[in-house]
Amino acid sequence: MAKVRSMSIFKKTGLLAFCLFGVISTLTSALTAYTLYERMTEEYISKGSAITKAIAGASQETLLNRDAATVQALIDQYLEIQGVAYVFVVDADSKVVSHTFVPQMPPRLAMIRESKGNQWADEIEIESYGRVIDICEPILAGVAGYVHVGMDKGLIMDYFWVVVFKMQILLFFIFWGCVGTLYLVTRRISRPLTQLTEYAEKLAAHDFSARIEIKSNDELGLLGRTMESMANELSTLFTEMESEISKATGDLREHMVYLSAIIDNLADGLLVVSPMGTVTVINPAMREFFDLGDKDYRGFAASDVFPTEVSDLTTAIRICNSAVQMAEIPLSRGRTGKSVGSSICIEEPSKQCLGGVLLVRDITREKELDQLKTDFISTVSHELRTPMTSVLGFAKIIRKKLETAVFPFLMEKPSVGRTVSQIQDNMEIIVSEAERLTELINDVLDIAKMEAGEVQWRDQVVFMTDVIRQSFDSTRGIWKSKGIEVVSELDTDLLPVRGDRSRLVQVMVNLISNAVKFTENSPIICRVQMDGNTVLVSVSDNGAGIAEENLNVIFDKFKQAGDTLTEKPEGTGLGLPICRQIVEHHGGRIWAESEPGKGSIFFFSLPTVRTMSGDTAVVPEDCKKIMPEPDSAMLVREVADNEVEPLILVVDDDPTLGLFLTQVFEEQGFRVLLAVNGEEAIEMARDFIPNLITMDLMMPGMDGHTAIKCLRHNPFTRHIPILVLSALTDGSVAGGDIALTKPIDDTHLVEIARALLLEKDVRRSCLVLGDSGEYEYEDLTVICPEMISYCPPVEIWKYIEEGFTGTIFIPAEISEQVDIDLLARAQDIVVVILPTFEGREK
Amino acid sequence: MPSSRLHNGPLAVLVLMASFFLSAFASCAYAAESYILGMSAAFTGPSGGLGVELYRGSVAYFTDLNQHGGIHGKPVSIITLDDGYQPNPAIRNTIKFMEQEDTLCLFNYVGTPTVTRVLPLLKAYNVHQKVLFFPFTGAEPQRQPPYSDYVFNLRASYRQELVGLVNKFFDIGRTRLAVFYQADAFGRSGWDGIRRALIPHGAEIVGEATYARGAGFEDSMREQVRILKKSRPDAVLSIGSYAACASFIRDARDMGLDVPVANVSFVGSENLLSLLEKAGANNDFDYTRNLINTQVVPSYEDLDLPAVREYRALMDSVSPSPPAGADSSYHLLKYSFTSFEGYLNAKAMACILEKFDESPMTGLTEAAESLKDIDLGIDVTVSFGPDKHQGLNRVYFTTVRDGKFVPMVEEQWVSWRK
Repeated sequence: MAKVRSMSIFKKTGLLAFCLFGVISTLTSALTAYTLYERMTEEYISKGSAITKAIAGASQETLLNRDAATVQALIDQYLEIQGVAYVFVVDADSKVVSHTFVPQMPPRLAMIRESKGNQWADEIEIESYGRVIDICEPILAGVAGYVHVGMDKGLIMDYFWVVVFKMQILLFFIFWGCVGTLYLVTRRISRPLTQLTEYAEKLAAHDFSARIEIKSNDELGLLGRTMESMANELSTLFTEMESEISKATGDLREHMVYLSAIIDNLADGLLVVSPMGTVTVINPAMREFFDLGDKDYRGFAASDVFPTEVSDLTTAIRICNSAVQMAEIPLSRGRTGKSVGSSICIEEPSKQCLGGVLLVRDITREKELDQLKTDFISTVSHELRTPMTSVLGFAKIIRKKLETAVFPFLMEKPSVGRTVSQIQDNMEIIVSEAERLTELINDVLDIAKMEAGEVQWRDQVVFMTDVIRQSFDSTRGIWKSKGIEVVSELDTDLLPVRGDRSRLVQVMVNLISNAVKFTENSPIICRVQMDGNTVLVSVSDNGAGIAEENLNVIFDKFKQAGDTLTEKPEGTGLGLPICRQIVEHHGGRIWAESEPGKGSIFFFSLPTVRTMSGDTAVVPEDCKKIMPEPDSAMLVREVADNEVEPLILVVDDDPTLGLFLTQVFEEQGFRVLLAVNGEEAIEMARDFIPNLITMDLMMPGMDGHTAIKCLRHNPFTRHIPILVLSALTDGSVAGGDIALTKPIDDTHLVEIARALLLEKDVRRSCLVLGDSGEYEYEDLTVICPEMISYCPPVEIWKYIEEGFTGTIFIPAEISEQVDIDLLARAQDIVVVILPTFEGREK
Repeated sequence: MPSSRLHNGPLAVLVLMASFFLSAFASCAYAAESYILGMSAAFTGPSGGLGVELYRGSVAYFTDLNQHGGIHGKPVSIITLDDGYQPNPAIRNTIKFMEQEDTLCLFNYVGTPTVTRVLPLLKAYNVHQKVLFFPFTGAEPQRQPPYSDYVFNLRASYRQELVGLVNKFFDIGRTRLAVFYQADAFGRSGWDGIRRALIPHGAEIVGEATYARGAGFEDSMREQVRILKKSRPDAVLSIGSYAACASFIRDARDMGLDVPVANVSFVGSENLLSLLEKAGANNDFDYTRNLINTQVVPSYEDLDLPAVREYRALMDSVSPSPPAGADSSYHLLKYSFTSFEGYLNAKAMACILEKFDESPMTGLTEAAESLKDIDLGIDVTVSFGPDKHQGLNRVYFTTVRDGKFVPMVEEQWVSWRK
């Protein structure tokens, strides 16, 4: 092999040299011969013309004498000159007077016609002479005749080929000389190279005992010695490496045993699948979960071994393009397992997917517990709350009847005065305790649902000022009765937050109630301010304060500052934990600071929607990017916030018209937002969920058509009625709910807007008796995931006749106005009597 | 013939002459003791026979002359140099003669191509006053200015021969004449002569073919025959050396071209005949039919002429040997038109030398030009003058009969009539 390689170097070099030589020799000889050819041709022509001139000069007189023989004698002399093929002379009549042809003058030449008075040379082909350069010279300017001399081109070609041949012979010898030299040189180089190659092959075969025999002092010798010392190094390294490897192998084996023991002893089932979906690892727990026995399932398709639920999971995780997958899956023997699957990806050395790993835990027991809890909550909800409502309701009725119908008669008798007063006190206690109990039940349910993640949050853009205002309204009764003043300090540059407004109100109500509860001195200060990207809300009082060690526990369930056993418990002790749940759900933080004896401050912070500049919140965004948030239920959003004025979004690029519309709507008590183009409109519609949108069609940027499409496309905004205001007559086709053509009659506009605002799709799952504006039962959404409808008590039977099924809530205040007994007996109707609003403590 | 004899010939003559005129050596510083003539001719090669025979004829006469006292006691001798019928040796030889003090003049040159090239030399060496006497050629250059001053001719020109021939052929109705000629000045002069001779008849040469000078009998002339045959000639006029002409005749007859073939005097009739006879013997065919040779001297068979008798007697008695360096394989002829011409040349030269010897101061040219009505014994007299440098004008027609060239008779012409 080494031999062949060295030969091939020689062969390659030789071949290259041969080719080069071929090219060089061909070119050289061709060039030389061509030069010679050109040169000789020129020489011949000049020679020929010299001869013709000589003859022409010498023969003038002779020719005029018509002495052909002398001319012949003259031209015969020139025939002896090398290269002259023939000479002939024609007289003025173009008759040939002498020539040197044997045996005859070729007819081709006889046909040549001389041009008057000029010398010229022409190359012609003549039989028996071959190629000839015929040179013609006029004698006495053609008057005496012309002389032609033919120069033998064949002779030039002969010279040409002789030169080529000689050159080739010379180059041939030079070539073989070079080949010989090359061979010797190549052999001198290739022999040590062969030795080195053989040596390297031995090294490759791990034979370090071999020795190399290159004694020369040139580069090859140096290379040889270097290779030898390299071999020694290698030999040492190999020995070291082998011991290292055996040690590492031992460690690795131990580690593997350890790992496989861990896997085998995992309580959870472990399944690893390859990217192709075949089983690669399966541990005993997994086998037990699916009763797989001891068979070796490696290499089997996961879908052949496991039930569909598992194989679906493995399909999802084995290709590394999905997040962690969690699912509950059925195990054998009726058990339930919770499985967590993730992909196995490595980044080094290159990004690669190795399949997926699936962990399965037997959660049969947990499921049972969970079910128990759910059942408990359900029981509390259905079995405890309902009677409590009745108890409270009737207690109040009794108290009322006693006070109105009984006590006035009894008060006249002093004997019973004391008793009456006692009964009054007792009734008060019964009512307040019942209320407290109801509240407790509500709170417990609340927090249980929150912890179980069963609360549905109605996320929307919320201004904290609204929240503060609403919570003041809710709590006014308490602090007014206690004679305490509550003050709000609001920053002017507040940004809205995203959240569930009623829940945030609940937080505020809780904090204010607490403050009122634990303080005697005015004022209680509610402060809202910006803190970086968050809105910081604080409620400070001048009460007793909270001991340092209690600051951290007050947010725990059923913990109140102080001893609840010795002191009179006020509230359920669940208020703050619920606040914490809500605030943390919104991504915020809640804490308290206190100086005992001086008062306490409760803080909570909420992240703002985003940074806004001035009044216009404009960050243009394509409508396609507005995607539904996974946890939001859009139906919930449809609930109108009836306690505040409807929000109207005016979209118009004309500032004058925008101002006009704003004034028109604000006069009617609506809140108004103004957007100047489609992008802004979509943006504001998404963030503020207006109750109505008026839309201009012709706008710069995104026009009205597109904006309407986007709004209709987005699940959060598609329910918003859109009023198209257009200078065009075809406004109705734009997708709005109704269209008005400019100029606009403001009275008509307001009518239309009101009509649109009131147009509601009545969903008949939950029905509350009473006027919608009169009551606020947002908490009912826990029971009623869908829309809540309101109806006057007199119309209830009409609803029932129309086929209403579901839950009917009856506020305690109007429970007398309907026949509850009759309602409860109706088909698929559940009747719930709600406690009065005023009495509820938040 | 052994080479020693070749060398001995002229040496013997010189020794003879030296002993004879030793006494007269110091008599006149101006006058020579002997008259030496320089002869450059073809003694070898295809035309070698011409030079040899011409020389022999002259030597026969001079030998006899010297034996009878020479020119007023001064012997006449010929120095020979071989030019092989090639121009360049002829030029070199001539220069040699010109620069040798003792050479009186040039004599008996053979061939047109050689002579025409030598002519300028005569002009160049004009101071030596060495003129050329009686070259064996009928070409025009030496008969025309500017060279006619330096040459004296005895024989008629080729033109005269050819005019005779052409006229004869037209007389018998053979008007389509083709030319076979040597590709050189000699051939050209013949060709030119024919062309000129045809002009009065309003005709042109119907076909022509050439051959390269130096062609031998063994060379093929079939190509030339083929060319000429295409022109369907009534007769072919052949201007060439005897070897080439013989070859042409042989191939023409072989290829069925049976028309009369005419040769001019230069051909050397006997040499031609011997080659044709040899070929005829080989092929068993008579190649000598339908030949006509023009001659510029009478037939040596015409014994009525005193010169012929004299010539024959001298050729028999002296039996001149060929000159030094002649082709040893050449077979000497007993008599021939060529040697007869050489004899006549020598005789005329002797007359001129006689005249010159009387008053050497006047010069050889003047001596020759003063010669009037000399009788050489051939029925016609010879005269020269300042404007007349050609002695004879008659052309003789001969044909082959019984293996000899004999004068044409009228019946022969008639039989060729067409």
